[in-house]
Amino acid sequence: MLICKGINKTYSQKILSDFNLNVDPGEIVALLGPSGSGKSTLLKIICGLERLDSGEIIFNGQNLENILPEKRGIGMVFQKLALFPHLNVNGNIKFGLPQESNISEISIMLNLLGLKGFEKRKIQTLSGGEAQRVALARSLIAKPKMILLDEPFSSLDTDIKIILAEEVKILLKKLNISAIYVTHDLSIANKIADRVVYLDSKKNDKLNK
Amino acid sequence: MKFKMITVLIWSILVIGPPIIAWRQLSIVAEKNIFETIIEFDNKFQTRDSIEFTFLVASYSTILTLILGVPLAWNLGRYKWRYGTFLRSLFTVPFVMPSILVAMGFLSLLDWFEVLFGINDSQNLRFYLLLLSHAWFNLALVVRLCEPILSTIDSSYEESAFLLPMGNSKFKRFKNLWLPLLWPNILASASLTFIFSFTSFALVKFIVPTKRNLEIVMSNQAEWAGIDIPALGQTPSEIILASSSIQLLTIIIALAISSKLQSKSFGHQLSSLDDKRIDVSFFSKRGLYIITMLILIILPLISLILSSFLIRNGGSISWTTKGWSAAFGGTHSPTNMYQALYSSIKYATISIMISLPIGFMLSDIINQLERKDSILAVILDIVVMLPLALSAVMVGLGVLVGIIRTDPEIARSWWIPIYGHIMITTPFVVRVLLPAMRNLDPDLEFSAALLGAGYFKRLIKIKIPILTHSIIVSSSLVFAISLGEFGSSWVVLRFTEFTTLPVMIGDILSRPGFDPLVRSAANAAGSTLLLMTLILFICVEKFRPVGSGGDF
Amino acid sequence: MKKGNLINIKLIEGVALFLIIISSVLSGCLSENDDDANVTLNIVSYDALGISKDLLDQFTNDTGINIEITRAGDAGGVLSMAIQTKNTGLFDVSVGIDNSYLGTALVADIFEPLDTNREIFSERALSSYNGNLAIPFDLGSVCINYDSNYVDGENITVPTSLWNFTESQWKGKIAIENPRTSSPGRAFFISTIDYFDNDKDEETNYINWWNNMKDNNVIITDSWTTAYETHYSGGYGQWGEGFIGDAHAVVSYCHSPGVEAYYGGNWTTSVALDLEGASFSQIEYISMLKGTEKKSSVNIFVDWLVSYEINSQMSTINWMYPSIIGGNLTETSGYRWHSVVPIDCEIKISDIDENIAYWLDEWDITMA
Repeated sequence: MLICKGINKTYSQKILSDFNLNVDPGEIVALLGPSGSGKSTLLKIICGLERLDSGEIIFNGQNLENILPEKRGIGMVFQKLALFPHLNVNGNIKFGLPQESNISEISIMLNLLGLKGFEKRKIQTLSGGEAQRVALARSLIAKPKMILLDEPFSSLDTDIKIILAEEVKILLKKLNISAIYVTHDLSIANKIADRVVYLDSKKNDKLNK
Repeated sequence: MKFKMITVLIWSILVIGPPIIAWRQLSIVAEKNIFETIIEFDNKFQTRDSIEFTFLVASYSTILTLILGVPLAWNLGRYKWRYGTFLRSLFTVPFVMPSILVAMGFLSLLDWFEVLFGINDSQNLRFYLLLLSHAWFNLALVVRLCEPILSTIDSSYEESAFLLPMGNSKFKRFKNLWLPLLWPNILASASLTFIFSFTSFALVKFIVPTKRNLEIVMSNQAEWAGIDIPALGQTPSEIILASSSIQLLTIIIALAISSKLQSKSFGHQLSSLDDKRIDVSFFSKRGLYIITMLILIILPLISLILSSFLIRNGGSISWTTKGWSAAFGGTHSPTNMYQALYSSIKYATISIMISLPIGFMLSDIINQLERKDSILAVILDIVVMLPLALSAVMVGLGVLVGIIRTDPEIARSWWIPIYGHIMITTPFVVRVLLPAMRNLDPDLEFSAALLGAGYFKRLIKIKIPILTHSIIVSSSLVFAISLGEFGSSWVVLRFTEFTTLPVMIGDILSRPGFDPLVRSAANAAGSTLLLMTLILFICVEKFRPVGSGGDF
Repeated sequence: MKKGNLINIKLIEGVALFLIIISSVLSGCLSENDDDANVTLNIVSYDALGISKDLLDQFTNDTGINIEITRAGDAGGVLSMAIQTKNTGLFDVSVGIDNSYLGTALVADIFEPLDTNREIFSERALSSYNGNLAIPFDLGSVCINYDSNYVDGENITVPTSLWNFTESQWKGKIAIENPRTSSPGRAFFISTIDYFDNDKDEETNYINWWNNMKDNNVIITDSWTTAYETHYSGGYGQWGEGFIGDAHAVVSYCHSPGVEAYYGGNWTTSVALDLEGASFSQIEYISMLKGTEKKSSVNIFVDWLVSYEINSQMSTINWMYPSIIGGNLTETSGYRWHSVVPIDCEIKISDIDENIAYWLDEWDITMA
């Protein structure tokens, strides 16, 4: 489904060097690596927020090079969630709703994530876990073919983290959405992913052949 | 991205184009290069002592502003006052006041000095009054730049200073704690004050009419500059060539210093949310000080309004509304006040409609370039601030010599007066919006993009709503500055339909005042401008969320 | 949806709608065209022109011709603007180019002939130029005014020569306008050139006098307003705001004391110095500018301005003498009685055009 071929990216120093990755339809891949290993950069390259220096990204048989982020059909949940502060829960989720979709899908999504009754809550009043769910709901309602998760649970307590990770895995499987989950926490990676890939700028050549 | 590049390109051409054409035209007529004209600058009557005077006024004004402003910032920042927010915003009123009405307000004070205290008008008194009016104008800069540090600093800093030998006395704490913390902001406000006093036009023109700073020198020679006719001579072109170069260079240096200092400010690193400021009543020594300063702020404004109802015929004084009817009826001016009011509101509204989108776009581009650590960000920031460095009269001269003299058919185009307003207001939009955009999390826009929102949807649904507060602040700033714009409008052609309130006031003031109604009519027009600015100010205060410091 | 969001979006939509409405209204206003029944004459004039909005409205009511006045500074600004916009049709009429600039204007060839009957004008009005390219609409002599309070009080003899002003009793007590930035200043400056060329003394010229004046601390101001209002002790300035009053003599018009008396209830201490050849007869002209397509309307306007009804009132409209035969200053409140008609200097307008740039540069260096 997603094929990353020979990706290179350099800022002031080399971040990604000849990186390769395959993700199958419905598969959840965890990308594991220390901070500064280029995990977040890779996600931004895949969804089009960063340009790559060389290499190719093929998604559903299509080269993504000249496709704008908003046209790629790839969703992302940011580390700091990036919920819109001027909109309430309903407004945030509605932002992701495609134009042709029915408005009732919002309440279905709210139910699915256990957010029923939260519609009119201000973003600022949500707990960490609730905010994660809203961010996830907002990404999922856009019906992406793939979703990228950039350590979205990093700020939570370990217990909640594990519960949420399991929930997310079940949800993604149910909706048959493939995902890349970036983390530096092996236990979470094992919990959520079908496959764990190690990313380290020095080692990634060997590990991902 | 193409769209943005075009915006940058158009702006750069608009900013740099006219002055460059104007300089070229001036040096053709003058048959001299800039350096030759500068060398010969001081041996002409028209320019003699003007450089010295400009620097003198700017320096003294800056010192006086600091002497009055730093204690004010201290008292506002370190102590808790009733109606504190309102008080602080009151002290920023002067900054948005049109300079021409400030000049008239201070001039009208001279009258009361004489009547109440028997102080006679003199050249010296005028000079001190000019310095005071500059301080009055720029007080807000010192308060806005220094007060937030003082009011948000963590109390533990001062508490720990108490316990150390370096801070065990008032003086030592000031020297070792406060001064090191505050100096970048004090100096930044000083350099901005210096710039505004250096390029002061209306205040110098009306308060010390016998003296000339560089702005006055340039506006004096404007009508003959750049025209190649033997009888008009080369001197006016030479003079403008030299003055504009000297002024531009000085201001660019001062701007560079101020932006360097502002980046050194400790402002954001120290902020704490616990408010341990000491409560103070107005009935105390400090309260008396604050009240005195308030009176100083309000006095020239009230004096102006009073004077508009005053007529002096021979030695006698009478109270009347004749000045107002003269202003509205247009009996003492080529335009009446209805026309001038309409033009003022029209140009202020158009300025918002154009400066705001351009300023927004430019801030957005600078912000994005900054995130990429691009040197282009710094260059673009300078290009944006250039009109401020060029000063109002120079922007006007750019239009007059650089545009109208090259193609006179353009002179009557509707955009000619707008050009000056846009040039002068857009830098302020950027100064307000850019910091707000820097504080905006870029992931918000990214995530909107990944949810399928294109550029315009992101703009309308995400960026603009989140920045609403800053947009309102910058719009009102644009409106106020545009309402009060005098220097550039004065130098450029004054068509009837281009005549705004400040220009109308200038027109009335340049008539012979044999008829005592002339002065009253000018004061009435000035009071109208004052009331409009005040109404605008009150509206903005209603929008400003409680506790938010001003961005400007 | 939460209430706050609604307000936000409504606010933005409201502002957008407001801006669209305003801009469409304004663009409607801006694109006014000349196809309208009413013709609009575009006039370029100096700042202090006394023809007020309500007087012009009367003209518009009577003739259907609208008047738009653009201010271009002083008489020099009017000329420079007229030269700059030559043949563009941007301005139809110039009002206020005086005989100190007329030579330059004629060389620049910017005027169209007018149909005005020149027999109606006084001899004085036609003394500098009597062609049909520039029609005199008002005039007045520029000379020194002095405060009789000072002269009487200090027992100073009334000056009989300009040289008297270089003496110690006038040290720092005379205000003269900068000839580069003020029309009366320029007029007086030209008169000094002629005055010292024609006096008995062959050794000295205007430069020597100005040099001595500089040593005698003459006050030079950028505008008439500053010299008269702020510095002159004998004028109306003493009653108003911002008065210094350190000068007891000033360059103004020989009929300025008349205007003082007119407003002061037939009382003034200001006197015009009647000194042969030390005054400049300033004649102000109205002209049709090349490139206009509204010739008949321009002629109507010119005829209105020199009609007996309007022109005879010039002394109260524009504080100048009428240019027509039989016109004079009003006698109300001693206006005419306090005014002086001196013997002015005589200098050809073509001489002024040829030499003025040189004279001014010399002056600039002398006074620096």
